[in-house]
Amino acid sequence: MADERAKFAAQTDIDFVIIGAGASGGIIARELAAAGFRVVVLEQGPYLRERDFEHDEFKYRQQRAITNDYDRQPNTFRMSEKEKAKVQPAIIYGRQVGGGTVHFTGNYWRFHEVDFIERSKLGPIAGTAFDDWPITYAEMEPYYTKTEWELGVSGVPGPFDPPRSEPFPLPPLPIKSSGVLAERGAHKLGWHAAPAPMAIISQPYRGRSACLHCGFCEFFGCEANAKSSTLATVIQEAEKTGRCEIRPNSYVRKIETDKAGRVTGVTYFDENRRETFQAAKAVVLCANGAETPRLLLMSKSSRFPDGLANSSGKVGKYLMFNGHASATALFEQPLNEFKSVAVSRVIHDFYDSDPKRGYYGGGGIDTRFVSYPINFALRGLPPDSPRWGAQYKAMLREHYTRSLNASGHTTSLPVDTNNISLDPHVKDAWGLPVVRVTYKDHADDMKTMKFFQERCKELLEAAGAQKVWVRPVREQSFGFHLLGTCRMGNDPRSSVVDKYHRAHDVPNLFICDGSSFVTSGRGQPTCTIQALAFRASEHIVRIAKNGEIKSAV
Amino acid sequence: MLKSIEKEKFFESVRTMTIYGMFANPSYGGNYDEIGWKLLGFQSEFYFEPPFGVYDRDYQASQSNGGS
Repeated sequence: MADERAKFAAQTDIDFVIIGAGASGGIIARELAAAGFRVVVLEQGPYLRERDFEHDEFKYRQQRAITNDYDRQPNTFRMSEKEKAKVQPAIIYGRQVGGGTVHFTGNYWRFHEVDFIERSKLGPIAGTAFDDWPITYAEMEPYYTKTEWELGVSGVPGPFDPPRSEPFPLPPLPIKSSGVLAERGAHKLGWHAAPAPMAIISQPYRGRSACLHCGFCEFFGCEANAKSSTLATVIQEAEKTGRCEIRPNSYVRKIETDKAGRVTGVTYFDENRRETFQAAKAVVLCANGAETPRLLLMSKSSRFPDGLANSSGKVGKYLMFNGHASATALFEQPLNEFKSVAVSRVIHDFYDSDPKRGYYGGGGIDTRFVSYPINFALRGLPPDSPRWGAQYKAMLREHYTRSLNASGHTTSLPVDTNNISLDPHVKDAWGLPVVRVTYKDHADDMKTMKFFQERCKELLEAAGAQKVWVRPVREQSFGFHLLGTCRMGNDPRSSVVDKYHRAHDVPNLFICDGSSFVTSGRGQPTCTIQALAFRASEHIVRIAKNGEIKSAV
Repeated sequence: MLKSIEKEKFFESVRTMTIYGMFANPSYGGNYDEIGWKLLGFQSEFYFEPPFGVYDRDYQASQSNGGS
């Protein structure tokens, strides 16, 4: 079969450059190419396919084969602006075509109505930019439905779910022992465990085969192509239009602008580290909540001295990680949680913030397996266990198939002093300033995590665990979810993009990824990032077809 | 003797490397005949069928018997 994939010569007049082929970039690529535009997607990581992925914990966790590599791209971290940041891993993201949707667990929760209007409901919170979104759940609902159907999501509505216009396209994945125990515990406590919505297909769907329950989901690329990553779905469709080129190993260092303040294209390092310029009529930035603000801050010019699209000073601000809290338990019988997808039941009884608790916060709970063998042996046993010797070995044997985590996924507030900035001292392997993370959980976020850890403990005890243990909740210094750093809003003085993801300051620059979030949601952002991407695409197409994006070339 | 050094950095490195050798894929040269995985009860397979564990097996049985 002829390869119909586009490969544009350097001089070709391109309509859009998309930076980042991940959760949002993959979707926008397909939508813009399908609408007739010529699109180049620049992705810093490689272009791997399902045949390249392996069952290999050491490769994907210890050696970070498909996530950012701290040797070449270190981060620095500090808790407050008074400190000098230290080099230490502080963020993780997918670094290949498909981005984080390749290695994510597949938890695929919609936001609820309340997530978009929480400030109106609860009032302001000191020290934060807690606010309503400029869009509502009702406006987002068609795009949630679209993302579930276009990508392939398995589930059934739970008792606390927001209204939906269509059912899930696929029935839920089979229940696991962890799900049965979640139901058992929840029932005893008067809570509700519902089948987990997962971006993993339970039946054949649109030419892809169903999940084989091999268990290699979180941290791994799916060898069966059953995980509904953008790599397995929309990116393949974008290429089939013949108008979309995915250009891997392309590391963007600057978005270029002209004297009129319009974007003209981007400068990037190609796979041989040659600096290359790609012109475009417009740029869509989808590089994730850490790399997106970093790139804007690196794209400063005499016209944009504080970084591109940053007249508000909000680029990089209000970084949110989501809170995480868990408890672990040992059960009498084997659960074999290493088989099949990570999560089969979720509990949303504590989703809403309850003013009676005296602080802000909410979240969800799921039950899931503890870890793959290496990480289990390193730190999967209770903290008071022996760490070597015959007794350690005996405990590994006793615990591995019978251990279970209950995990709470919770809100983060948009704290004024939490942010992504450029480290003034540390450079990456390309000579660019690295991501500096300044982050300290808000006191309410800490209380929420502790509250959820208590609920996780209760759940496991009610489910009949033989032993339940926790590690103390500590302030977080590491983010899996990178949110809020180029927030969306109606007021250009307090936000970076408008409600259509167009930069307030630059008419032909669009930004859509986790950075667009105004508030954090309850710990599972991917579904909302992708619904935003479908919605943004529709508006970018509308704006482009109105003739509002004139060629700057 | 090991007790006296178990809090030291050197011991931590040796422990970590030993665990890699014991539990990483046999293709790296350790975990001979999947001996580490057998100890845990872990299996690296491409396909599993439900029921996966004892509790979901019993759950399915109770559902097919008309239970809740």
